[in-house]
Amino acid sequence: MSRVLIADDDRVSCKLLGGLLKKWGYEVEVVHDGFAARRELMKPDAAPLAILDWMMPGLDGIEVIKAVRSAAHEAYIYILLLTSRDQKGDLLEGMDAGADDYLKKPFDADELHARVRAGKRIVDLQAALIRAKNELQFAATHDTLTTLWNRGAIIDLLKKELSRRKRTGGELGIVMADIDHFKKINDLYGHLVGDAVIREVTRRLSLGVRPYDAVGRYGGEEFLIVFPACNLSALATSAERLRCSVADEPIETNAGPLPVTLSFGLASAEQIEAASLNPESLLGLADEALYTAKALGRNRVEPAAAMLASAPSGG
Amino acid sequence: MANAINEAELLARLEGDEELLQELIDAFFAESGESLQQVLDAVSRHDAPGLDRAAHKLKGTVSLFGGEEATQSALVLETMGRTGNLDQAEASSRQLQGLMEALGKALAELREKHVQSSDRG
Ligand SMILES: [Mg+2]
Repeated sequence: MSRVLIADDDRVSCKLLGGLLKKWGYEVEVVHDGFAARRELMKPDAAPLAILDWMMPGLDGIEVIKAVRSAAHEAYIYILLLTSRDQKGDLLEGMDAGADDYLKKPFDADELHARVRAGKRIVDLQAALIRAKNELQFAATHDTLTTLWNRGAIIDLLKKELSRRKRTGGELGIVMADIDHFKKINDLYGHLVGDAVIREVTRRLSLGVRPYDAVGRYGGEEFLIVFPACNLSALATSAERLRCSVADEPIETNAGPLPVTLSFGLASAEQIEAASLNPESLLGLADEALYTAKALGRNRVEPAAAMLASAPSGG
Repeated sequence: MANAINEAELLARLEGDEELLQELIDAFFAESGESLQQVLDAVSRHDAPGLDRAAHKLKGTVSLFGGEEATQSALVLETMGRTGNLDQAEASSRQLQGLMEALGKALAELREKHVQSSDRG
């Protein structure tokens, strides 16, 4: 159902507009002056259709339209301007200010209906375009199997967190996690079971992190988790919790319950000198730690060996 | 008096919706007295911009009911307010007052008629 904002200082006119629009299936909001109209239309969830009277106390319809058009709304608001029949020359001013259409008082129900329908077509089209854009944006940044951030997106996110840390300081850690002997699961039970394992591991990892941590699928069976505001020891605690959440309970699959474990490599931004700190160097450090975890027998958490043992801490 | 409203035009404007007609007439009685008073006050204060605004608003209300004479009369007062020439405003506002009474009477009759017809239906 489409929402319509009616702004008119004439309450009888509001009754008529509102009564007809409700009958035609619209959800109606009513205000009686220009300030209230501007306030409503500036809200992020403003009605997509508006019928504004030109002459109103406070702000007139034109001033409201100008304010709305100069605001950076994502969704377009379709605006119908109400004028009186004898208000001839001003029409161009109204359209120039950003009105999409106009209606002269007293209006016929048929004409109102036709003009509102025309507006609804535009608004619906706009909504469909925004939806399609958001879907494309999601598809471009998310992994299809897990709906986690994909490799490109999680690296972008890490980049952003690193530059934020540069400006504001603070801790930042990352965890690389890799499913142990995943190739064997695929070879023994097939790819569908392998996919089910990846999805369940995804679910357990996602449940085990804080809302502001970001989990991404870095490779086939490899995950990258970005932990803002987390030093190396907090990182180790979090990773250990994640390790247990997978290792402690077998994963139910079509091939029966399968024991699955992960190896974890951790790295923290504080381990790298500011000049050489970037996504590549931090990822390289976590990758080395992951390699160590694998070499030491898998199903374990390994922090990166400090790169800068000699660096003075805290300046 | 018979021309105070245009019943056919009014009902067409409401898509023949009698319930909406009742609501609209109720709204007219709730609002128009104050709107008319604002016109009369502006005239007695010789407040031209105030007359422009008040007469414009009243004109919008009465035009919805197809009250041609009252609409015209309000337009005359609105124009006086806009141009700032209030010489005839006193007389015109008395005329508008009379036309508003006639409009109110016609709307009351119309409401009565439609209450009865919808009761029977
Ligand atoms: Mg108005």
